[in-house]
Amino acid sequence: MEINILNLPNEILLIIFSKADNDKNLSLVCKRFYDVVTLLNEDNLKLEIKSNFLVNSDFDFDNVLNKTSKINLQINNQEMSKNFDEKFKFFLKLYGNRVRSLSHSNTTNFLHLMPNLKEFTLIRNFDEKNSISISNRLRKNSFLLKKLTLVLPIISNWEELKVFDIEELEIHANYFILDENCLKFIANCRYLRKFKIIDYRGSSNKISFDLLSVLPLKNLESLKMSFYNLKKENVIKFLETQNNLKSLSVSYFGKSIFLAICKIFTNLNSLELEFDKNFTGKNCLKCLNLKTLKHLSIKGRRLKISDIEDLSNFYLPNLESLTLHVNVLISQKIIENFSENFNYLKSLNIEIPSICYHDILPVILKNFNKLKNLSVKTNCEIQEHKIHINENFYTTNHSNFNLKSFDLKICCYEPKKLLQKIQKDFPKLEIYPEEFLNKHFELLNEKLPFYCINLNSSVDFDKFPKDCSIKFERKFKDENFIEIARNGKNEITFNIEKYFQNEQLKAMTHTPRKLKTIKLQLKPMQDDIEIENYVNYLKVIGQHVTTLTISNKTTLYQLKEIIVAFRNLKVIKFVDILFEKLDYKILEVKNKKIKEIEMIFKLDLINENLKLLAKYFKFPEKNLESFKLKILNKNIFHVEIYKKLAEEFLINQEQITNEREKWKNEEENYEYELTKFL
Amino acid sequence: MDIDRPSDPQVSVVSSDGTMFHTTLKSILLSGTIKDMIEHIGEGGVENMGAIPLQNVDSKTLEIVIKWIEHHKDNIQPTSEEIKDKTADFIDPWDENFLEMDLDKLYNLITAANYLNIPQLLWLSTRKIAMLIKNRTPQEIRSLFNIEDDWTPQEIEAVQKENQWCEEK
Repeated sequence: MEINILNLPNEILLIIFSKADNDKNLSLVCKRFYDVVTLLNEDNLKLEIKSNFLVNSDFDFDNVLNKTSKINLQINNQEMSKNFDEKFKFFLKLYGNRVRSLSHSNTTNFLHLMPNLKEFTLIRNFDEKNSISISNRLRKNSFLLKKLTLVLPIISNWEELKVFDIEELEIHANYFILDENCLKFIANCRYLRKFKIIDYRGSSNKISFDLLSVLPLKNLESLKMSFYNLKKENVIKFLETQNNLKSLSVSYFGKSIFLAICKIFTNLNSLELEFDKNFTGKNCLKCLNLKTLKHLSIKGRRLKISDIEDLSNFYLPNLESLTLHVNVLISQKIIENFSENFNYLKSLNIEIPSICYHDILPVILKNFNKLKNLSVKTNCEIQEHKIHINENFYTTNHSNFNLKSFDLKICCYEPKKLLQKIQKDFPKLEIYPEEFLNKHFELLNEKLPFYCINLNSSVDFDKFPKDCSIKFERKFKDENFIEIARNGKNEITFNIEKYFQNEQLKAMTHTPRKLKTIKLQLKPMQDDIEIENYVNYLKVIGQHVTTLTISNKTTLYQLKEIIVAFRNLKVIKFVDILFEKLDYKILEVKNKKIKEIEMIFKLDLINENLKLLAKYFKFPEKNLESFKLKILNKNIFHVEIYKKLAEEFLINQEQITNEREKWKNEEENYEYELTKFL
Repeated sequence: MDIDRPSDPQVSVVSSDGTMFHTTLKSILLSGTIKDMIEHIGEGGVENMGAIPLQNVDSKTLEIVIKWIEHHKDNIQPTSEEIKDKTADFIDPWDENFLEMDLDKLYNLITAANYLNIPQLLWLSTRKIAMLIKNRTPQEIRSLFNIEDDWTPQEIEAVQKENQWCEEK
């Protein structure tokens, strides 16, 4: 059969286009290509706009928006002021055609200024006047709109809402929203692939949602629904028509519906079942067809131990994640069966009565070697059942264990020993049981290498140990930061990019702690006095800093001043920063000790950037020992950049041999590292 | 299920135009689709299952696919999940050479690799096309793939306006 590239299905063209890195030209080739390119949705910008922000802000939209084609807009303004309206309209006139997704709470007046809207989320109730405007204005976007989310909308004129080309629909509704007109609208959306109906429990007995009305929906791949207000009789009839379904999530269903699900769906990838509290189907799980599942979630307080035993006897070689919230005692035998039959489980989330903690957790840890995420919690809030765990809680040697995150509610008699054991048993652990650490701050004096702080949690700072080195990894509150900065002895590291206010830096100048590593996010400072103060504070706190990371809107002038402040710098990292006239003499003269420069790019690199990079690469300074280029960006076809740098810009082949190409293909990031050892 | 036995039995596959090909079980298991089929045959085993019909692959393409899977039967193959975001790698010169074929054959190979669920072959073949597209103008791409320009001047102007963000300054 002779075929043309246009005959290839979208999913293949997407693969090809994502590797071609030529979106702009591809979208101009033909309409089909344009549609596919718009599906390549990688460079979205999430923009949250609050009323005050837009009115009072001097936020530099141009600078940010030049780097992105697609804006996801979230508007959180309760009350619209005329001033906001005007500013917002002006913003949309400039950037409205880039808005791809809109989530907003109180206005529809500007929908027509976002002609390329693909996703629309309507969050609040609307009065009748506004609902008319939604229908009318959305109709103009109906061709492009693919995903519609309606959260408790009061729409009186559903019949006007003619966005029938949508592929995803999510309605958060109660009984009076799902009226006849709403159902007619849903039924008309014949291209729907994903359908969620979040059906809130109503206070009235009135039942109005009859799935018979939406029988025409036959292309669904993903379906989520609860059964509070559904007419049960026609549910099975509806489910029987869903031959393409891959993902099903249902809650509060009766026995007949459950049996129908067992019978109809034999080929699902994902299944979530939340059993009604009155559901008493003994050995019901036995009836399920689970073999093809990758994700399984079962929540049911009335399920019996025999049900869980049945589940544990299934051989599910594809299962990657299991969520189990039940009210039964899970035995060691069951866990062993799980581990034997669910070989590839990467994520396990269990909520069980507290009293069986001792028995099963060591067995889980021992048996699931591929597990990366584990969450075990008690669903029992009664004080007498509080769990007590001692240092014998963990089994012997788990040094090869891969666990990275560990969420566990623990109350123990000997937390110190337990912590030591945790560290010994899980060498790769990155996220500790937070609640445990926050309760036992005194342990941090016990030679913990560092403590990663998430100061959003409720922490008693009076107990915070002064001898502990601290590493800020996540968001923290300024007042907590100042407190920690002023008290304590050992090192402090900021592994989070932050714009420090002068006041915060001033607080740091009084700290006896040594600042070792800092990631600075800078904003352009117009005022010389502002820069001078900033730099003066940095001079005090920066004397021990050996690693500095600078990102964001740094100007060359700022950079010069700031680098001077850090006298003992050895490693300097630039994130998404390229200066056309960056002169390494700044680094050489003022900072003799800088040995390593690293340039990190999270944003797309364009050709001009490459040429600049090549210049840096070609003429590095004498004192440098290595120059690294790291690209952390899924959009870039890394090997091409490497080749371009290596082939076009390096002086000769001998230099190429001195380079090292290293790949780390981790779960989230793609890291390409090119190092020049000098 | 017989797929774990040490010997490597012969398996037959039949193309959409009725041509039968013979290959080894180890090679054919590189295809996720066929692996699934074989895992479900149950009693009787691989030896007795007969030729596997492949309705969506013609004989010319199937011949190419078999050549590739036989060459790679001893290599560890990435899963479709693992290869999903694969962005660069060392390309085996044998593969580079193997993919030297005209576009029609390449399309058919891509379609077959997709249908047969052979992630590595799909990655290689789609990459080949992507490299052809890279750095080309819209007109060059149209000529290369014989695509008709269906934009009106007004529409193209609108798209260009939308694309302005990425114009190099």
